[in-house]
Amino acid sequence: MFRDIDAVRTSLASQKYIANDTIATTLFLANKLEKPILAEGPAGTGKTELAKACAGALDRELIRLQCYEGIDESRALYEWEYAKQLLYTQLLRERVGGMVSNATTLAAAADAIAQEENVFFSDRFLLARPLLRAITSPKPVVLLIDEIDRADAEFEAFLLEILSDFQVSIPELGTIKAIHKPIVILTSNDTRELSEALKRRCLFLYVGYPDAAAELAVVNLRVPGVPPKLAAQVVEMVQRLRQLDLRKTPSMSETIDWARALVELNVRHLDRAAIDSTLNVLLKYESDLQKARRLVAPSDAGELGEVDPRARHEKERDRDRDRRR
Amino acid sequence: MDERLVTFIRAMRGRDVRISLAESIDALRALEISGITDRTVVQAALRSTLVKDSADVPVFDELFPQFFGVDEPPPMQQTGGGLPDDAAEQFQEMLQQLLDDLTELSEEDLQRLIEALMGQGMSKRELRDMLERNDAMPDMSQGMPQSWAMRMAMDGIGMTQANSLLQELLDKLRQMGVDPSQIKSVERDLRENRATIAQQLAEIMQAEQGAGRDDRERERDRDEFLDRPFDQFSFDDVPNFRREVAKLAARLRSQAALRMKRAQHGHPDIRRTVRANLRFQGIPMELRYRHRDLRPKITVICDVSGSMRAAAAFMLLLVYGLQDQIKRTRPFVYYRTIADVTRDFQELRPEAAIQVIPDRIQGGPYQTSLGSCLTTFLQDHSNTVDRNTTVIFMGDGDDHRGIPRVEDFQALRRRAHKVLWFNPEQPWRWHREDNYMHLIAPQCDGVHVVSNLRELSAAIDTLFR
Repeated sequence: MFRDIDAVRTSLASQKYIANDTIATTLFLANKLEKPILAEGPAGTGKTELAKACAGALDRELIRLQCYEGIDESRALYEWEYAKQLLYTQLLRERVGGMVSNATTLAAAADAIAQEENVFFSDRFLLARPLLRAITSPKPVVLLIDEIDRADAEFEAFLLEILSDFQVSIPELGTIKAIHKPIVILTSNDTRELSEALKRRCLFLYVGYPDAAAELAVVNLRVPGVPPKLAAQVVEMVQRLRQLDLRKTPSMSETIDWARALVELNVRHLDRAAIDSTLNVLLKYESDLQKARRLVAPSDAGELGEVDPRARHEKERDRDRDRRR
Repeated sequence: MDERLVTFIRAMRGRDVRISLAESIDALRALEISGITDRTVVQAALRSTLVKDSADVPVFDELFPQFFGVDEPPPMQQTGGGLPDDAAEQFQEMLQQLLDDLTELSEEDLQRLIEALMGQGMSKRELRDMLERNDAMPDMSQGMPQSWAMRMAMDGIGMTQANSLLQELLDKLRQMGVDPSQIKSVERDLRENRATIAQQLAEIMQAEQGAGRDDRERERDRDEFLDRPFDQFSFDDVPNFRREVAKLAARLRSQAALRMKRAQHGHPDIRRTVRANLRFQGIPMELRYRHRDLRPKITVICDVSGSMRAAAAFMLLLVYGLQDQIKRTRPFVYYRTIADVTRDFQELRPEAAIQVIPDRIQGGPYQTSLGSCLTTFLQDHSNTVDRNTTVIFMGDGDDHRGIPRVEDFQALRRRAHKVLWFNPEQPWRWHREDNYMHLIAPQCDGVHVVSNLRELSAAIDTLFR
């Protein structure tokens, strides 16, 4: 458990996660109030990483449920292991035969088997999926429900019982309460509106793109051996690219990947050639690459150059459009 | 603190941020846990417990400083700075005398107001307290016009009296022979300081107005919003209603999902059942069904001429709010020309996409060209329509440049599963000059009058039945 907000910040920093005041306070409160966190924001801004860092900081197991369209209870909560049940019935056939041998009627035989029904619907044959594992774990865990916005609305409704009461109902077994209430972090890329009921049960945390200083700190922390000048140039370039109207804005994780790629290539400072050869690590669409290349015009020194007038014009047009929006 | 938090929550609700009782309790508990000594922590604690939508964050950030902020006084003009030394000295003496007199008369508020006008600004908290002490906070829930409310608040805190007292001092300066242009500069400083105080008052009243609105009023607003005709919306306002449209879409989505779930169990699929149960020695323990994908494929063709833009924007926002229940959506917009705007919706959020789509086509007043746009659509984009596609037109049926070809509609209807027409205008308007609904309607599988959001959502709901 975290002692105070500073302890959250320090513990996360030990996991190479730089938490701002909002993140640290929200995680601290989630811990104290025993409420899930709904972390929302663009992809690649460190929402999933927050759950990993939190698990690392508290030395807890991270149980991850990756959501997708069509995910249901059997993938998220539990499933009866039919094959195992069948195997047991086959192996115990003679024993079952012995049980019903004294029955004179069919109904009596069925009653005799029904008395033993609990054996076949017990923990032994229950295949625990991430949610059940998180609840029944003998040690406290961190539960990450990743990309909840990809799941259907019905699945969201199904999660409500777990998120508010930390318990699940299994018809054959009854209600199972959490042994230790897990720290739950849900992430969403905001591709669709989540239900009010789900939001109400969570603490909300918006994780946006970091500002230049925060991004620089993360790059320095996560990319060992990055020259200070290169780190600053990478961050400056990414911050400038985020101002453009791109199909896919570069994320924090892509900034780190780009810096790593540049370090691997022994680049000491960012120049036109380095940008040209590695920009595809950062940007994933050809149209975006072209816009980015136009942003940096070659200069005589070959250093990161002045902004191309065409790119400047484009940027101004984008800003105008943003203002109109 | 609790009282201030409650007022803050009321103000947030007044700005249409949904905060439940449970969330209010969470906020109080969060403050108990995190403490109230660090303003940044208080802000983060309240934001995470009270705001559950990123669209509400700006409202929170705007209101938070007013209730919990450092609330520093705004920068003011230092009145009298432009006077020559001797005149400035005399002016200061007279002013000090005035302030002392007011202290003797126990007119502290008037004294503080004069100091503020002279350049020692007041924080909003101070101003709010002054309004409350003088019972001058206008009752904004009664729909009082802003200008009246402002005059009432200004009079209530004694602005008129302060002005006349300062004016008397300036008159004395005039009699002493001070240059009129220098006195005018003092008057200008006073005017600017008065405007700054008025601005602070306006912000306080705006927050108060939000706090004064109750749930019933908001519910009434929502009903009014659903029933308001499209032509009374400005196109630029549409993205501001994102939350209401999203709510409507969520309701439609739940209904559609439920219907599809109920309808999904078709015939048993023998081949898949046998294969799935091989592991159980062929005993059919798990049944497999032929799942039919009942989600519709939609091609939307919207008229974005001036009068139709708001209706088209709402239509597209609703359709994109239902994306998980729709197999494929292809949006087109037309005016004089037609354009495929699928990519805009792929790259931008719907509320941002609808802002850029008018740039994708050409057209001006009385240039709607439905006929030629439809012909172009059939030539260039007919591959977006197949026998599973429902084509929905959203438009008034006007064509100012020709007569739409009936054959084109027939060709489209042959290709498509259904052709529907959503028209924001009432049927009695369909017979005016340049309107061809009388030609179009018989060629469609259905025509819906959708003059407001309620009718539009009902029409879209029929797609999932």
